[in-house]
This record gives sequence, structure tokens and C-alpha cells, in this order.
Amino acid sequence: MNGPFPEAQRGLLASIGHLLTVDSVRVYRRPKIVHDAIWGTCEYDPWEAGLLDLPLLQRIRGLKQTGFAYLTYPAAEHSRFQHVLGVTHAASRVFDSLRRRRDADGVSPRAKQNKGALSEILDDRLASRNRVLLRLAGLVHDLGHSFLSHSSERIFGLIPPFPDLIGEVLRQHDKKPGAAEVVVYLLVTSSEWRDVVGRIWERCSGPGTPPTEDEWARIGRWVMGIEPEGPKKFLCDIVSGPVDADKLDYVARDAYFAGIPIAQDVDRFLSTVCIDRQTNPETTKEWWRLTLPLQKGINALEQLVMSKLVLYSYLYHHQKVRAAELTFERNLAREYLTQGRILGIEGVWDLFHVQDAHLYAVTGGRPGHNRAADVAYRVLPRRVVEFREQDVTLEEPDRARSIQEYRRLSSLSRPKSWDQYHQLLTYEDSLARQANLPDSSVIVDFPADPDYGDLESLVLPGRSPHEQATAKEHLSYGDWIQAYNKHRVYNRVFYFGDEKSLERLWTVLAEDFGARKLRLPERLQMWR
Amino acid sequence: MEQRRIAVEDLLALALQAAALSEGKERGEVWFTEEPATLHATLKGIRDRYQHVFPDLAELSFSGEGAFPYSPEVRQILGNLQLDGVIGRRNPSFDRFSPNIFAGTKQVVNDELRALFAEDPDGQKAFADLVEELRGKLIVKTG
Repeated sequence: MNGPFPEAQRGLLASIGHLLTVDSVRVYRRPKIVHDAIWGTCEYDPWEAGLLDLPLLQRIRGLKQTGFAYLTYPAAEHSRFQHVLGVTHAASRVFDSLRRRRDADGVSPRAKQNKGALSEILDDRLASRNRVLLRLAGLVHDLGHSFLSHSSERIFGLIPPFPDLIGEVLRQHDKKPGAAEVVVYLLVTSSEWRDVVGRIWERCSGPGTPPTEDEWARIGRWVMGIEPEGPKKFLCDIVSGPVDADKLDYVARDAYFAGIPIAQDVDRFLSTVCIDRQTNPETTKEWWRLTLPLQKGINALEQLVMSKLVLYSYLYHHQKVRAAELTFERNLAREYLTQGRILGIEGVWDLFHVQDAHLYAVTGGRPGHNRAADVAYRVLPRRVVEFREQDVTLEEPDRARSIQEYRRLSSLSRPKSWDQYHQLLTYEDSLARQANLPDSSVIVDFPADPDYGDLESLVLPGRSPHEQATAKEHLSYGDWIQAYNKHRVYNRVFYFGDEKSLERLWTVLAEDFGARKLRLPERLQMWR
Repeated sequence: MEQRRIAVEDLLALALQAAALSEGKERGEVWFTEEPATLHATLKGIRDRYQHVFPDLAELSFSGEGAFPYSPEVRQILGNLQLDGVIGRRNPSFDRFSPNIFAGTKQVVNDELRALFAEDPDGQKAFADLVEELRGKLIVKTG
């Protein structure tokens, strides 16, 4: 990719180059066995074990997978490192299952009509190469994260050159990747990365030659969910798609480490997942997609969606998790807008050699002078009020105007640019000042619609070549999600302050909402 | 043609409400299909045709690597509009959505359109065409 990519790549490599040293990489002759909490005994090939020794991969041991969730669920301290091991294992399990069942139900009836296209991918010699690439994609897919994972990604994704990089991918591929995925692409398409992998490959007796420049570019695209070759699209789907190895791992892992019981029958999923051939009506191009069959795969899909819904309800939307994430994000945004840096880090590329522990370093072990970093010490705001749309909008004849104002407020609190962050922080500070509180004491939170990962794009093939349905047509998950949105997604106002300031803030909020044709009924006060 | 800055979510909210109102139902329900292939293909066409007038439409991505174009941003926008009370999905199967039309919605929409296009007949025309396209391709039932 051209445009802003070459310069960004130079910037990234200049900042993380010191983590690409092979000095600490041991020589592996045999596969390495790892016991994982989710997948049990997992095997990693010698060159994979060598890669895992790289300081760049060891770094992600220090990035918590679920950000600040551990402040609420103490055991949720699992790392990105554990997750990439799981995804690597899961990716090859999916691939192996498809290969093993390629003459049976691993390939849908209409995909079987053009089996030749798949032989280039699933036949013995090429299959082993594709399996190697898939597992490497699993190993590298999260190397673009910085401290506290998605909490910082929402901020650094707005710092130049990320908007330009994402815009370039959008222009070229009609796909909007996450900022962390773009970092992975920049890394794995660099000559420095290829050189390091080549040396590890040699040391650890990798099969054949290490991945070529083209193969690394393909891995980088897979991580962003892009595969221009129709027959290979299902490989990309295994890495990043509606039912990918990433989801298989993190749904089970996040629930397990948070201590939230969920039912996810991975064996059933692996025995039903299949390749389907789908035709884009606009371009008439054929795409081989990873999906689940209509009749046999519904249960596995249902479990996956339900598990994610439970995770939103218990974990991702938990009020203390939101309080921690938003305190962190708002204060990172404030620091960037006023000082052009985040947590003291000036250059955006320097974010990719730090770990979560950077927060403790910023506080110097003495919380009290940096609100973003203090979150690590669980210095969190309290709820003033929590509400849903139906709780605060007015009835007729003011209903239309009231909903319009509600929407303006919710849009304001879901910033997508620095201008919008500036407007939001100004609004929150104005509330704080009116309540005689210092700036950055008030946070207004309207969570966005939960992300279930492109499930609506999933097409489920039937028993005959012409039978198919979207997931939505055959699953009631749409009902669950919409009901969850309507009744369980709460907006909140948080504040830092004492009991006295709470009284003042309540009055200020009631006035502000009143001016917006919204109401704050007494019953909505949580902790007054 | 002059370019107008209006966030995609705001543009779609306004266009859906305007389309429902233009069915002549100031109260009552106008249902739009949420069947993924029709919905996403229609909005992709709208993005491609109107982004020179409303440049923020270019923020929508539509992956064409499957049976129909698909935009995760469209899915999220509809979810946000539901959370915000702009649309409802009260029907049993949730395969349709309906803009919530109240007594004052027409006035609210007209006020917004005036603020956006008061001295901009080209923008007004483009918006009207966009609304017509939504009506023609997505409305499945009025009642």
C-alpha cells in the first residue's frame, strides 16, 4: 500500500526496532508444548516458539486483554499474549477441520460444484503452507495494541497519521480497519520484520523458506479482514471474519477469566464450520467464505452470539468498567488536545513498545496527579444517575423535540474526531464548573450499539446449492440484541467529588436536561 | 457541487424520518426492510451516488467480498438510532425498522432541513433524491 504507508512504516520501525532483536531467541528443534486455560495442551512449531521469544511478542504479556475489566473482575488479568496463543491454536483447528471434512460437510454443496478452486488451497503441499501462514497471522494479529488495548486504541486511532492510513485502506479496499490492525500491517510488511523472521526460521529449522514479501502482505491484509482473491477469502475469515478464531478464543477466554459461566461448545462449532461459495451480484465475482451450515450450524452460532451478549451485559457494559475506560479515554484525549501527547509519550509510534505498567510509571507510585494513570489504582468516579432513552424523553406533544435533543446529547458523548472530543470535554467541564467541581470531574456516557462482529453479513448455506439464509432469518438473535439495547444498555453520568458536590451536580444536571427538553425523574438518582 | 458536512448518522436519521413523513403518515408506522442484502446494497448505492454532495458518506465501508455488500458502520448507525429512540424495531421478527414519528416530528425535520439547506437548492435537491431512493427501495409496509 502506498500513500502515507511508507513514511508511517519508517516511523513505526524507528520506535520498535529495538524489540526486534533475536538475541533472546532460543534455538528450538522440537515443537513447544504449552498448556492453556481454554484450549488445554497446545503445540507450537519451533519457528513459532522462536518468534514468541522476540521482545516484540513478549511485550504483549504486559497488555491486559480486557483493559480495565480486572478492576471489577479481579481474575480478568489475562493478557494479549495468552490470547494470541489461543487464536493461533484455534485458527489451525478450524483449518484442520475444514481439510479433514473437505469431501463431506466441510464444504457446502454449492462450493463442491467448483471444488477445483479449493484444491489449490487445501491440497497437501499447499495446505501445509497455508496452515503456516494462518498460524503466523494468529501470532501477530494483536501486536498493534498499546496499553490497555482498546481503551488506548480509541484515542491513538485519531492521532495522525492514523486517520490517513485508515482512509487509504478504505479507498483501496472499501474496508475500515482498526488502528491496531493497521499497525500490524505496517510491521509485517517491513523488510526489518522479514529479516528477523528469516533469521529465526533459519535457527529453528522452519519448513521450506520463510514467508515471502507477498505472503506477509497477505497476512497483514488478513488481519485487517481483507483478501482480494475469492478462493482464499475463507482463510482470511479464519483470522478476521464473522465466525473467526479470534472470536472463538476471546469469548471463551474473557468469560473464563472474568468468572462468568457461559456455554460454548467449541467441538460442535469445529465439526460444523464449513466453506461456502457466494457470488457478489454486483461484480459476479465468487467468494469462498467461512460460515456455518443452515441446518447443523445454528446451535453453534446461537451459542456464540448468546455468549457475547452475556459478556456485554456482565463485563463490557458493567458500570465500573465503563467508568474506568471513560476516565482513562477522556483524560488521554484532554492531554493530547492540550499537550499533543498521551501519558507523556510524544511520538505516536512510541506507544507500541510500552505496556500497561506504563500507567504506574506515570504516577511514580503516587496516585493523585494524573487522572488517566490513576485508574490503575482504581481511582474511579461514581455514578450520579443512569437512564435509558425511555426514562428521560418527554411524552407528547414534546416527544419529537425531546428525542431530537436526546440524540444530540448521545452523539456528543460518542466522539469520533478531535473536534468532537473538544466539544464533549467543554460540555462536561461546563457541568462540572456549574457544580463547583474542577475540570474533568464529570463524564457523560452513552454507550454505542454493541458490536457483534459482522454476524449480519453471514450467509448460511443449505442442503441444496440454491438454499441459503442470512443468520438473521433463522436465529432469533436479532430479538435478543434489540431487546438488550432497548432495556439493558444504560447511559450514565459519573463524577469525582463528595456528597455535597453530588447534590449540586444533580441540580445542574436537572437544569441542563430541562433546557434540552429532557427530564431527570427523582427515581433515577442512584446514589444521592 | 458544493460539499456539505453532516455526520452520516445525522444524515440517515433525517433522511429516514423525511422518507417516512413523505408517505403521508404523520402518525403511524412506515416500515423499512432490514433484510441485510437489500439494506446494505441500497445504502452502498446511496454512498456512491451522493458522497460528492455529502462527503461524510465516504466514511461508510462496504465489503463486497461475499453474497452482498456489507457495512459494519450501517449496522452500528441503525443500532445507535434505536438506542436514541429515532427508530423502533418493535415488530416480532426484527427484520424491519420504523422511524418513530410523533406529532412534532414534521416540524422538527422541517426545522433541520431549513437549517441545512435554506440557501442551498442543490443540496436540498440531492437530499430529496436520496430520500426518494430510500422510499423506493427500502419501504416495505405502511400502516
